[in-house]
Amino acid sequence: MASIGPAQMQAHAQREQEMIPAHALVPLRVIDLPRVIPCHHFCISDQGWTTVTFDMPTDHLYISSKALLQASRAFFELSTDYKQTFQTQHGSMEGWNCIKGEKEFITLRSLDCTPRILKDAASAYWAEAGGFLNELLGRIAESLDLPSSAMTVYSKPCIELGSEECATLLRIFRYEGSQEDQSKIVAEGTFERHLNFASFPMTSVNDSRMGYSTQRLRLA
Amino acid sequence: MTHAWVIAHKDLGLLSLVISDVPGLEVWNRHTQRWFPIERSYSKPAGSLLVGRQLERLSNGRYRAGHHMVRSYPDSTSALSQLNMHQSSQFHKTPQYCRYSVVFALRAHSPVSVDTDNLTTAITGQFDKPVIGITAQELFTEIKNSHFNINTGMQERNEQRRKLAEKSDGSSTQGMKLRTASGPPLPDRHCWNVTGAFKYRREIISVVTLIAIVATIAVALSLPSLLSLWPSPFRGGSMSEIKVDIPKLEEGFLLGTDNT
Repeated sequence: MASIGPAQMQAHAQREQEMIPAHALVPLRVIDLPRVIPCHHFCISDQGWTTVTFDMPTDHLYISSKALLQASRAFFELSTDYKQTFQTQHGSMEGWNCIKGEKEFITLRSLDCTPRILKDAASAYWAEAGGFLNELLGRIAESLDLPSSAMTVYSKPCIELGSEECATLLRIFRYEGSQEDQSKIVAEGTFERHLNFASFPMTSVNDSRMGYSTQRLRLA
Repeated sequence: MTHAWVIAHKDLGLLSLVISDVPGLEVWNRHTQRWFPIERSYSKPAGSLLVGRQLERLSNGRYRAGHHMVRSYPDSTSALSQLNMHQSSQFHKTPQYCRYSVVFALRAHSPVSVDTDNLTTAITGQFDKPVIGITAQELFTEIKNSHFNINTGMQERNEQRRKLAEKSDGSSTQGMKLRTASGPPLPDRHCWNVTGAFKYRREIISVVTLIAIVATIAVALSLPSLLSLWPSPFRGGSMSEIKVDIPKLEEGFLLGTDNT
């Protein structure tokens, strides 16, 4: 995990404070977040996304994810007949699903419904990812001036892949590649009742800059 | 540069962790108003963290849910593939390239009760949408019912879209046992100020384009008459001809303006 010193934390905290307009809300408490480097902290609350940086090469989260990706490839290579045995009455909420021309995926919610070929890798990864996000959620609670347990009460029961189904899920996708010259959307979005986003032509530029820099531009 | 018709989506739960072998995830940068191909920005193995709607609700919007989508790029050769998979020989033998992605979606444990009074601090402020006396499962259902499921088939997805569009025309009830906030209405921190601009973006672009075209035509047509005002050996025609031309130009310009 990326470790930083108190001086760095303090400097970053000061920068974040400076970036918040005077009329804004009470700023979040500055908390060290696991696997998130300080300059990426603000993005979580401000944008709703950020980068998770592995402590290479020994990070167990990374190692277990790599193993799961390998196992997933092996699973999706199996016959459709076999994969169909993992279809459930819960549709996309559990088991194997295929949307022709777009993707196939398997949703894991309990050990009992996990294909044998994925069990070990999925269990290991679930433990790593569950532990990581549980810790992160606790830190997020602290940033809101709450005890970590105020949030982890929601996540702690879900940090292991057990025999009983839980709300948390692990979903593994195999997206079909684009055979066209242009890129295509393979997971489009939700229609929101209270946030009526209309379709609009959007251009994405292969910009090597991280999105985070824009915060500084905005507040410069 | 790539072009697409896009609708963003957000995850329903608390936090999601996405790790992929090939770049494809794009996140919405609300400041630049552009999609940011976050996985393409990684020069070494990395994951992507997304905030979901449950956390947005439980933090009173202090943590915004992140819009994102998945794009399939035509160039299948990927640095991330080599980074996150290394010797993925089977992958490279596959005739049609595929993207593999693992999404761990942390959601609030169903039976746990939700009481936003217990989550209220000076930092969260008074909750815009207070929730009390319901379970995490009920909150999840309420959030889920407001959106269509992107992981269903296209036909079912479109049907869900249609039903939700119908609902959106009606009252925007919060449903469940959501308590009405007391006191004066607070500024809606959940509201993305750009929503209106998004909604009418096509119309705005069309109007601006039309105005630009009309202005260009007007300038082009008026150029000879403008040039005629200058003593120039290259100027052709007489002053009488110019006097005739000017009203025609004005008429054409006005017609174009009316059309917009």
